[in-house]
Amino acid sequence: MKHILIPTTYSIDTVDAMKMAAGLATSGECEITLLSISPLPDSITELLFISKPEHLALDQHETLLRAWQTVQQHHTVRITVQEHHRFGITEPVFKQILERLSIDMVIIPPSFQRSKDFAHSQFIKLLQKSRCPAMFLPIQKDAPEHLRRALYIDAGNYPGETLESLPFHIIHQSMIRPTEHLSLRQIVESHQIDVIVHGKTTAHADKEISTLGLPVLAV
Amino acid sequence: MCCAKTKRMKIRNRVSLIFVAITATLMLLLSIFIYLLSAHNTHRNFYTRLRVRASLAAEGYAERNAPNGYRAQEMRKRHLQRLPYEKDHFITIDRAAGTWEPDTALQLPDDFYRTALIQSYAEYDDDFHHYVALIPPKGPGDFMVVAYAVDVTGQSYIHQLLNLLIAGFALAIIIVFFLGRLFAQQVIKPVSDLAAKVKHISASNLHSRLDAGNGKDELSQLAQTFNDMLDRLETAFEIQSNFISNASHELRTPLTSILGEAEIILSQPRQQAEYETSIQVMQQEARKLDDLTASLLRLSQVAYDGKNQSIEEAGLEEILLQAKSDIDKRMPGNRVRIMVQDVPDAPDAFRLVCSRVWMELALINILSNSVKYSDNKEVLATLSATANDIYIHVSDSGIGIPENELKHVFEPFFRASNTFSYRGYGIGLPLTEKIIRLHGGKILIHSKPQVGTKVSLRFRRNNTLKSSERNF
Repeated sequence: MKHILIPTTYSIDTVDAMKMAAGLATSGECEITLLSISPLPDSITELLFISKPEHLALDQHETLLRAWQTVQQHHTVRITVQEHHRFGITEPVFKQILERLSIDMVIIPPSFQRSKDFAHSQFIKLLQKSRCPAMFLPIQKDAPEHLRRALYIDAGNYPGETLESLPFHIIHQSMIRPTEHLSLRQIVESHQIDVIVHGKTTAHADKEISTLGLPVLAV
Repeated sequence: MCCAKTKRMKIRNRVSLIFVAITATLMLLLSIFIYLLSAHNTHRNFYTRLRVRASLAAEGYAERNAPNGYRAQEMRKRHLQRLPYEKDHFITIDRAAGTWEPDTALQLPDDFYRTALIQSYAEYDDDFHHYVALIPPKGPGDFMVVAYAVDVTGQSYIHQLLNLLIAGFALAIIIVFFLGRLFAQQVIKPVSDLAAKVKHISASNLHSRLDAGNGKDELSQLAQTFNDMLDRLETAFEIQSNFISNASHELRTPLTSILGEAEIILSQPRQQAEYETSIQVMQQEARKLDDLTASLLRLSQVAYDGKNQSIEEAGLEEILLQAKSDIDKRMPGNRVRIMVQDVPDAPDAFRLVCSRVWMELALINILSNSVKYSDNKEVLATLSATANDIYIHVSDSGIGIPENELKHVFEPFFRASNTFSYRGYGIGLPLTEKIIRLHGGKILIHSKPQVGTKVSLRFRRNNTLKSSERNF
């Protein structure tokens, strides 16, 4: 994982996503792009004369960057952070961002998942349709600091090549003995699972997954 | 040097000649086109003028018996310029019979007269001597006029044009030849510069690199390729020199202990018990030496003596379990957990053509490293498969490998800075990497200090047989 995109509302929980991005860096360096999306203004004058920074919550922005600087000092990985702002999001623009920046993974902080803004929910929809891996941080709990083991809960094809570059160990659900008859929560606890991984194309009992309070990686 | 120069000259000349040939062909075709077009236009212009003259001559001839005759001839003389060597001949014809009374002064083919009788107009030229035959439409139709003139101006214009084209062609060829040589020299120069720079790079200055320029053109790519090759060479040299220094250091340490122990014990007469203790120490050090040389021998055998190994199709599942039982014997109390993906649709999913002995050795090395460096914490080993690949992942929650040392772990005798409290020689992982590579596989290590290490092995099912055959 070299280049990670984090869509953000500049809430403080973005730092957790950035920490996770740094933890996923596998080659000693990591590039993080913070993407903020504002709704497209109704009037042309607003679009022309109001600069991008004016659409950001500047105080939150500064708090976040200050918090990140403190966190960054404890990391040995070389991390560069870039910021990118867009007015509205469409499928071609979304694809262009992923291609131009060669994004390896998108990490979505809880505040962005909860956001009711149309552009934000549109971004998540487009992400679900794309082939880029998407990591959804848990809404109720803090994400674990180190990701060691993941549970792949999909009976379909195992995307070995995509998952190979991830630094955590992925346990396929079929590796757990069927005789054990354990619930998902019991499996997670007994095998010390930190992440849930599933395919984007298959439907899951999302409620059960969301109650686990673990990050969910959709590939 | 001499040969290189000759070759360079040859390429330069070849480029110049290709340049000249292409330009000469193009210019020749263009010149022929210009010449033919100009000649055609000159003839056409002259025929037009001669036709007007013939037409007026015919009109004048028809009016010769009129009361105020010769009006047309007067007009012709007064207003129209006479053409060089112009001469008119009036020939009596019989259109109904298709006959004519030829003028003995004219040496013209019969076809010319016949065409004139049919079409009332005919043209004929012998080089720049032009003839036009015309039967006036309004006249009595019993004669035809044959007008003759020489296109002196056209002739001189066409000759001048021809000379100009020949001279221009020759001049252009000479210029193009020299320009071609200059161009070829410019093209060849970076290549010869590159060759000169490469020649200066030897074993003593392997760190030197070529200037890759802007990295966009082919020559920059060539320089970049050379640089990449030099990177690999330098790494190989570095590994080799590290290997030698590390090997000599590792071999010397037990030898020094044995020699020191022997020297001390022999320095004065001692008790039986002291001799025994000393010999035990020496035996221990000699065993270390034996272990080390045996590991070294195995490492070299994988590369050079692999032909003796039997290659067979084996289930990686069995090999992994065999490795686990071996680890159980060597390290009792280990917490290695093996998990295998369930692939009911493909019973042969984990079958691979491999050397069972080497593969088992590689897996034992990885598992024992994980157990050793995680202080007997749980080690997880999983076996999974996709349509084309087989994956083995081994992870632990051990001491990990420092970020900047990860790239050196496959170098023989390298030991990470946080492993000094653990026994080892730094041979296991290089040996494993060599075995995996020989099986057409790939080994990848992810590690974080104090968090853990994950080793991933990937084997391509389709490529395995080929690469095994090639290497073993």
